[in-house]
Amino acid sequence: MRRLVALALASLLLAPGRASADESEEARLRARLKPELATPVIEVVRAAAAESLPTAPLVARALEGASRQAGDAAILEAVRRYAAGLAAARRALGPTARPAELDAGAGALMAGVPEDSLASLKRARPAGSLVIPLVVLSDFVARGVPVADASNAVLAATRAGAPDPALLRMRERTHERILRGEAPSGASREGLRELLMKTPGTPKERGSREPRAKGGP
Amino acid sequence: MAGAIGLNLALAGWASTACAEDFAAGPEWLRAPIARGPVAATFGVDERHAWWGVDGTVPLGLGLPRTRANVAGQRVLGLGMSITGSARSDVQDLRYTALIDRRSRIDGTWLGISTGQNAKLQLGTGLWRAFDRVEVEAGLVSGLVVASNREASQWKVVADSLHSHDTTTVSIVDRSALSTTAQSAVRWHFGRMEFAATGGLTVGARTAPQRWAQASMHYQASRRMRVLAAFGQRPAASFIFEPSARPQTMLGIQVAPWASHEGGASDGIAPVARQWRALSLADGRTRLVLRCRDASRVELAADFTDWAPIALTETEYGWWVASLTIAPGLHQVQVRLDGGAWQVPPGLPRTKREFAGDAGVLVVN
Repeated sequence: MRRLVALALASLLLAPGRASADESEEARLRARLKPELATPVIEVVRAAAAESLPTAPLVARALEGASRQAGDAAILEAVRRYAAGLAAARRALGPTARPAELDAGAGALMAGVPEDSLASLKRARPAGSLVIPLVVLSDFVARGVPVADASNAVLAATRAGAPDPALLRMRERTHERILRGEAPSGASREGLRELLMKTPGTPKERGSREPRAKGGP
Repeated sequence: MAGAIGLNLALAGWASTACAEDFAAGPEWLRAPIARGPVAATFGVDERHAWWGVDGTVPLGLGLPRTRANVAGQRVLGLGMSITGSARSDVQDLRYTALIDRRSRIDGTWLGISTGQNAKLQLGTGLWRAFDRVEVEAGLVSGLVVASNREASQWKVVADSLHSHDTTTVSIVDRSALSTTAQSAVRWHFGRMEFAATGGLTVGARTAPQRWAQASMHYQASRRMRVLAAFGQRPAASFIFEPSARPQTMLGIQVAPWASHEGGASDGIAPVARQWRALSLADGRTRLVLRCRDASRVELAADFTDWAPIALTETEYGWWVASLTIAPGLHQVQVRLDGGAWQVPPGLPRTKREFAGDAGVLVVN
């Protein structure tokens, strides 16, 4: 009974907040987009909200397009594609995935990472946040690391139990190597090798081969 | 070390409609009141001695605010005027100069008047034109150059073996004469470097015609510092309107602590974002800090600004700051320097965007 009361109170407290947040997002969209574009974009946003997907990234996509003076069709297409990406990210990461994880996952999917890789990451770190691994994965792809190599590197590091700061260091090292002229693929492998060397309890030479052998992404 | 102290006090009022690119064109000495800022110190050595100098400029709007027309390719005209007083220890005198300058984006003319130092009155005029990175300049400076001789005369000679009377008198005879210098220069801008070849002919009423030439090089090491070098000779009358020039071969460094962003080699110093920080403040806001030297404007666009550009504030030289309320979560950020392309803040992970290149990923907890 006490739990029911608490839930009722929570819903009473949270419901107006959610409504006002939606209204605020819709107001921002209407203020920045032409009416003929705002309406379909808001429909996409409402549909995402109905599926409990985060709506802020969709609103940001639309406003970014308006800011950069993109065409109406391009803006609407980008919002729809990202909404589909969020839904796919939730399929891969599970229903308990947090909004930031879904956002990062959608970003990785948009960059060309397959859903399987996201699911493998979830299995590799079932309890912890996947925001940083997904951010590192997207960063690798954006810097020219082939998707398969990027997925292998991040997945191997995550399976090895590397904490977020270590993943971010691996990203920095890889970036530095790419800037020095190394091929992105080799740079990511070296970054992973360095990480595994410093991660306690990890076989030193196993790192770059393990994900492929274990049927990774 | 024979100290040579140069002190220029310039009162400059500019009513220029030139855009930033315009300031980068034309002779540096015409742009100096804007480009070099209120103070510039110069240290150097020439063939005769080591020298140093300080140039001061006090820019005055005189109720005529500087406006800019940032329309690429548009031919805009401006009008500039400066009144300069200078003192240098090697001539121990003051010099006052007034310049009026009419310029467009690619060419300009100037008219100047100067008095002091070794010239009673100098008039100068010239024109310049820019061809991409090469500038051609021609000018004429004419004036009464002060010169005096100490001349001895004996009005009486006493031929006496026992007494000797020196009746020699020395008088200073004014030998001031009209001197005219016709000169031309070719300048080549290459990134931070500017090479110039200047030559001319000086004709005086009491002197033989003198041909001269000097090559010079300026290297803009930073917005505030540049290296000056010159090889060859030129008469003082030829650089009466050009304070940083020297009459002989020299090497020097000029430091202008408050040089403007529209300074001499602004096109050669591309601003680079070097460091990015995001710090949580006690009031719940996030302080975003970008280190970027040589930029006059830094903007940030992010999902938490609804991708509307906001200007960062330069709190100290090279450090640009904005304190914003940012909700926890994943955010995308881009920065833009001097109106250039949007780019990822340094050090941030990168993510692909549909509309304007990659963005940096900021995770706020």
